[in-house]
Amino acid sequence: MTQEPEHTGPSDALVRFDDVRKSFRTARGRRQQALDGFSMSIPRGSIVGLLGPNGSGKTTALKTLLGLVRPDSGSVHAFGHALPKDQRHVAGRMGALIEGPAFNASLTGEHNLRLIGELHGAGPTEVAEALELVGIAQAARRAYSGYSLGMKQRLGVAGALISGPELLVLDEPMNGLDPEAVRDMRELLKRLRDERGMTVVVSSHILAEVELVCDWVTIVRNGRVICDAGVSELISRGTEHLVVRVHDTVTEQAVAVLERHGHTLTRAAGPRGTDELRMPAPRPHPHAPEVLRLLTAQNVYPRELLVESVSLEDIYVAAVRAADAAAEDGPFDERR
Amino acid sequence: MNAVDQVRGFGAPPWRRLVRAERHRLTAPPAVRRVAAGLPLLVLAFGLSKLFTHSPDTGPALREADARYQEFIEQAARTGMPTGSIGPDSFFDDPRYLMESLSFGDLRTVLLGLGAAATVFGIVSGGADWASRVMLTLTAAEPGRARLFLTRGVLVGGLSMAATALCGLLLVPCLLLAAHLRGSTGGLDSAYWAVLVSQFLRGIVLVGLLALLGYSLAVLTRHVPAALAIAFLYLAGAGRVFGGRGPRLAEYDMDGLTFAVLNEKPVVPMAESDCISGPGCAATHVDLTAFDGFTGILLYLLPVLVLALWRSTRTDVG
Repeated sequence: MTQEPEHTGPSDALVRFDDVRKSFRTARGRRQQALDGFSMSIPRGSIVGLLGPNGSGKTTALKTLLGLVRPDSGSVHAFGHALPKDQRHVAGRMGALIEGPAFNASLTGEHNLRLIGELHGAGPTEVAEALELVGIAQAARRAYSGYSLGMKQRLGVAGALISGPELLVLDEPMNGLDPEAVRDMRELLKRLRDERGMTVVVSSHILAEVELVCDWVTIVRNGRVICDAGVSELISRGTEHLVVRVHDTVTEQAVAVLERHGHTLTRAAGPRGTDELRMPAPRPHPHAPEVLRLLTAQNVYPRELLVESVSLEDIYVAAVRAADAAAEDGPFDERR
Repeated sequence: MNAVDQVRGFGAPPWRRLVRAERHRLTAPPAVRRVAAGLPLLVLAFGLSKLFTHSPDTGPALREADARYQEFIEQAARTGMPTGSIGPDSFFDDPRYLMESLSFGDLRTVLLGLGAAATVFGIVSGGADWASRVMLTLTAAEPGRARLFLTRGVLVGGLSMAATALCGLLLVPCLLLAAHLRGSTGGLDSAYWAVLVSQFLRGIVLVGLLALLGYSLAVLTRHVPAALAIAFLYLAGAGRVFGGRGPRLAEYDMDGLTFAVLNEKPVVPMAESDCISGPGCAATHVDLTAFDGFTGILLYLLPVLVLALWRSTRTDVG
């Protein structure tokens, strides 16, 4: 699948990156392009998933938004302010967890949070509320050094929430969380969006989680956005497939029937002496009843008939492959 | 940003909040608290140890001086060595705590110890949050990195100076007690107190500058062990770099400059100095003043401070 980046994004964008470029010098002295014409928008009141392989520029983009990294060129706007020039005006409106949680190991979780909260003018009530919100209130008085990775991660999110931000920036927040904690985190992010109107940006490798929690997804590859759209829209754009599983003794007969009626098929071996016949299934009616009727009329009875839906993972893999193929063909700018 | 935003915490924190938060952050680590509590106790112990290392009874010391003098005379007679003006007094090691002469050296010892501690405190304060990546959170909350750098620097210096002032105020009564019970408080006139207070105040400033030097090195390296190593190398080697760059600084290393700050000529005239060798003696013997010493230390500090400020404000974080 090839997607043209939709740089325009939604009309009420809270954050906007336009053609941002940033390079770093590596330890060997070479220049490495971390962001290469990076453009994206973050819609207000949404949960945005930032996806991409390691080193694709996700964290650099988030750091640019937070003023930790200065772009070489291009522009970043947040809350209507140009960054990093007006970073001071937006600092308290953003909460962030970048590159994992970072706290003083010798202090308790609560003490660490109090120190961050003090900078934002948050008192003990806000600290207690943040700890409660992420579900580690019972461990608040334990030393941070004794926390599990999941607890550290939750404390990091609490630290990001302490200022009561409008925009929450979370870099890999699901790292180290057990399945129950992942579910809690997902619910928390949805609650923050629904009850507080918070906008959330989540960079993650866990595509299934992003699919479950995010409204909007941006896929980054080699420092540029290769796909930027609403999750439901992306999935609806993808092609579903109808899969007919038949016993391998009737495979040829089934193929002949279906091809005679104009269906394009691909075959694959299925489990326990079956074959799978896969064909595109247009929405909203993937012609399953018609296929069933055709086959049974010829005394071919499928073992199973199912509609294979498109996942974000399919979209991600397709987008990354398409971007890689395009990169091999030549520079992006030339292709345009 | 409007006033409501400011109250709600939108935008960067105001100065007062920033200073309070950073003060709490710098003093929060248990290790810092333990050292902060331990230093005054250590200084008290040092001051009170004078009660046990000195004695008001000069009898045994006089007898020992006489015995050693007799031994010396006999040896001189055997070898034909001239005795000159050497008398029993030359062999007298006074066991009393004489406040007027001994307090300067004791105060200097304490100030040098606090200076070393302040350098380490500065390094830890400047480097630990970089090492633990807490600076990512801090710089995201306070984008004015120069504000953050200066606030921390002033706090590191200020807290070190406050600790030094407290330690000095604890030390002097202990020394007075030792002098009262185990020696003499004779000669403690206004001139004496003026000189002692002057040395004390210069020591406080010196400790603040050393803390700032450690802090700057740590911010520059963003790494505690590296800053410790570089601080050592820098203090050991910068004398060669800065040799001859400033007025009358040609041959003085950090030891000499520190000594000059604490022992300028009016305080310890060369003739009364107990120096035998070393850079401290060199500083005293060529009449290096405290002003010269401060100038030299600033010459050491400023390039590091400027580079640290540049790295802190102009380079990417993380």
